[in-house]
Amino acid sequence: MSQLEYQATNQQAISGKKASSPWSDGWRRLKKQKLAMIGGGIILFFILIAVLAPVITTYSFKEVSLADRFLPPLSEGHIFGTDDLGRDIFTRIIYGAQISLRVGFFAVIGSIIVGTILGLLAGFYGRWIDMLISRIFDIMLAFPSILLAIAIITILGRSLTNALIAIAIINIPTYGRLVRSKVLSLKEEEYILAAKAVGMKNRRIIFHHLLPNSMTPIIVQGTLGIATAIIETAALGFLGLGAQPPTPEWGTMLADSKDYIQLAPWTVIFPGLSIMLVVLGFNLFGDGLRDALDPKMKE
Amino acid sequence: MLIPVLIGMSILVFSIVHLIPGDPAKTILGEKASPQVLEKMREDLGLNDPLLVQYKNYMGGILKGDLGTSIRTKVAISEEIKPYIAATMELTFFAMLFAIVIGVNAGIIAAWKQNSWFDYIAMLIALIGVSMPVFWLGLMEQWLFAQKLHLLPSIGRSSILNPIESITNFYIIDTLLAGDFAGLKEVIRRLILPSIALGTIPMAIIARMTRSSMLEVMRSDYIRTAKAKGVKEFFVVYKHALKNALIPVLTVVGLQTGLLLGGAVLTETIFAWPGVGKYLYDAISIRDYPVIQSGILIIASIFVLVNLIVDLLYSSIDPRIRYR
Repeated sequence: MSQLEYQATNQQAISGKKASSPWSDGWRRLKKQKLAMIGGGIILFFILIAVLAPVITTYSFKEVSLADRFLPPLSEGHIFGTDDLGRDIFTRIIYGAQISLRVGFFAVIGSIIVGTILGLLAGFYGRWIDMLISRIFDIMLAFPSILLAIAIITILGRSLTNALIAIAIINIPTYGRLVRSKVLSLKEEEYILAAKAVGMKNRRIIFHHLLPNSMTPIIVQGTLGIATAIIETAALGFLGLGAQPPTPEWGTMLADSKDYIQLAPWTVIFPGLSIMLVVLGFNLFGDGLRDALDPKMKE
Repeated sequence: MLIPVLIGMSILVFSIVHLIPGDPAKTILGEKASPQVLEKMREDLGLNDPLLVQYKNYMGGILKGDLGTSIRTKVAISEEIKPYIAATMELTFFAMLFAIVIGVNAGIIAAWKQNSWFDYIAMLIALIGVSMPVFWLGLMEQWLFAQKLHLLPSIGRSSILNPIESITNFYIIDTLLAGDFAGLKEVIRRLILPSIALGTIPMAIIARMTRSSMLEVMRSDYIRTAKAKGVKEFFVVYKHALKNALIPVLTVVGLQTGLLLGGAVLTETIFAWPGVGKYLYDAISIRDYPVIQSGILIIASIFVLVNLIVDLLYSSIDPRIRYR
């Protein structure tokens, strides 16, 4: 325990107030940030429409109705209009929110799990393990990420699941490096040295001390990472490498309707706006989270 | 440091291409080819050799400047790829120019007039810019500026009616060399929309970085001294402060230039821009293995090279950093 924390605990003991955890401190700081709260609101809004999709809309996202092709927004119960196959765009967008949020979240979770394990190993054991893992990260980061994702999908085949896997793989080094550098600095802390000195097993040190103390930057980076993952999913969908029609993935929707942009611009405007808005939400919230939880991370 | 990464990259690319399902011999000869002919083709391509031998031959070729031959066009890739690289470099250069000129200046003014309406609007635009899907921005630009307003052409690098005779493959330079000013105007007009689409994200990131870096520098003692001495505020901002504020900005510029190569795949697809990104994307869709292999390697090498140049630039901007 550092001198400062020791004093703080003492003061709390004297004043009799409940000790506040770093998390509740972080939450208090986060609540004060207007932009982060707007971002959080946007995320919450998208989560809500995604979860409540069947309640919000009565249309099907895939049922074709050629009689209703290219209806402009606000006509006959279609607030965002209809696409080239007469499907309700609003319905497709809210079902698309389910896909984007799910893929973004699970891709990031995948990268975090693998990246954290590799980062912990590299940082804790050092030597050739660190050498090997760090070089692999360097090599992966030497490729523009979308290119690497395209290459992985070429191997695995085109589908939404494979897009998720590709996005998870290309983002592993980001988290791995973050954890590795955090572990390198934690390793020199007295409580880790003490744990080693009393003969605590390596595995216990890694999972009980190093891992929990590396979580803050991971959570911050993970929130920002969901934004990136959502854009990447849409980009792959747009290139025809991700979700396949009739899946209402936003990028795939853009690819499907880009040829009709002159005739029916709304078919392109709304899916794009949705991507931008949800990404903006995660960026705002992630920035605020960084300032609240880990002020030192701010460049 | 650089060489192990480059070797690792070549191994990774080699593995990726070998993991792609499908038979290159079949891709070349078509589905109807007889087994004997296919076998002969595999033998000729060296596909029956052990992987290690294949890798050795491939690396040996690269070191001699031989990038293989395209299956589709039967032309040597090292020759064929030149105009594509030039097209991507021209596009990336203008995208970055747009990003730096607008981004740095917006960042400076936002920091200088902190909490003014300019600051708020610039940072709002930057926030939206960071979250912008490049491909959607490209589509919206085409719709608005090409189809609605008929101001700018929406696709391609030059007009089909007035082709540009290429000498260097950089059309701006080519038209200047030929003294073809009508052609130059056409080339620039076609560069505007894709450059803005590709440059928007780096522009937003550079603007935010410049602003926060400037705000930090503006608080330092030497700036107060300069102001106290009576140096005009414009010079304090653009001369004294900017020099120190630019160092972190340069890191971002370097990183973003590399990332642009990735963004170029999307931008080039939308604007039918004949660059490496599109070249590679087309190669992937028809399984042109040698092109995939060499194309990825070339893009990644450029990426590594850009980052190296940025590292070296630091020492010239910041004399405190020295390389041994």
